Amino acid sequence: MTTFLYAAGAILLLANAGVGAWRILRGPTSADRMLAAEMITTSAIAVLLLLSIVSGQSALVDVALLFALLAAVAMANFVTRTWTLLRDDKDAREEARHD
Amino acid sequence: MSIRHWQAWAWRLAILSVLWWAISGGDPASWAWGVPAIVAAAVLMPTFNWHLRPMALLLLIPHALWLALRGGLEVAWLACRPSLNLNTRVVEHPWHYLPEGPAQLFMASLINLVPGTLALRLASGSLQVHVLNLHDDTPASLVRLERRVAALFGIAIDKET
Amino acid sequence: MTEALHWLGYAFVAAGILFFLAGSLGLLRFPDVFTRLHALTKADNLGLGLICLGLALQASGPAEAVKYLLIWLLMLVASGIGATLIASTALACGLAPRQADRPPSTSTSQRPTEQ
Repeated sequence: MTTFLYAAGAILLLANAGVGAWRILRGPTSADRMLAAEMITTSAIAVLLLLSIVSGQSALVDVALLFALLAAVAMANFVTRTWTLLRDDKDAREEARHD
Repeated sequence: MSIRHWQAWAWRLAILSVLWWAISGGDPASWAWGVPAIVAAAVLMPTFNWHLRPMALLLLIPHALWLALRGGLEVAWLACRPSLNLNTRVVEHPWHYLPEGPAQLFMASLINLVPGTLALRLASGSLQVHVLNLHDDTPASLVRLERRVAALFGIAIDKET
Repeated sequence: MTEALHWLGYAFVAAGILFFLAGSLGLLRFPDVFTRLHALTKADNLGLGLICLGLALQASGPAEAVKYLLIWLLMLVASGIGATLIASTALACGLAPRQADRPPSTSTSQRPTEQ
């Protein structure tokens, strides 16, 4: 029964990732596409975890762990690259504040 | 070599050992590779010049989980509700306690877990927060959260200024 | 005891899948990129967390359970930071968040009164 339930759950989550794919196609902005890609990563990890139970292959958990690690590393990489964007108009802001 | 220095090393080795134990699935034979890997990682790891209070961290984890649960429930309810009537706002949260640096970044990341808030931009004097559905107590809860982060980083809270 | 833990695990996994579905409903329905980010970071992370917790309850050993929780922790860090990054990038690219047309909001600039 576990197998059946988790297989059904994995199919539902796959359909869920399909919504993310639709959002990537549709856009309308690149930020939407970025967040949809992140959502597909999260769904893919959940699907892999459930499939590892269904198929009895514990190696799939390691694949999921690697996915999560890559997501974290990709974001850490992004932090350093867009650091300037985060604080770009810091000076303008300080001028505008009057307290 | 001060006591603090040794403490930092002990923490680092302990955390890395737990990580190895988890990813190797608790297989005793794997420690033959594990011990060199742990020592190498501990030596090569970049050092941080900020210290977290262990007790405050232990207190913060259940609180953060509770916030994550409430945040998820709220957003799920708003998404499933038939009418999409959102009171979406951008509010400025001025920093009351936290100095510039890792503490502010930590707070900005933690805000994403708080029900209905999303950190937009970090400026020197304040944090721009996007609020999905503004309630009356949202600003106060941000201040409460900031106080918790200040305790985590061991920053004294000055009640007068 | 083990039986009860297994059932609790099923309940967690089912709740996690429900949160995933609610999150993608938000992704479809919410009006702009900022509100969609809310739907994603909160609902999806909670969904993954509940699934990981449910599977950890059914795990065969403690090491496996910790591995599930580690996956969740990594995703939490990645999307917690990622959400702010996407939001600030969108803002820097000139996207303005849509706001409700009600009286202007309060700010937190007054000092906290309770202590």
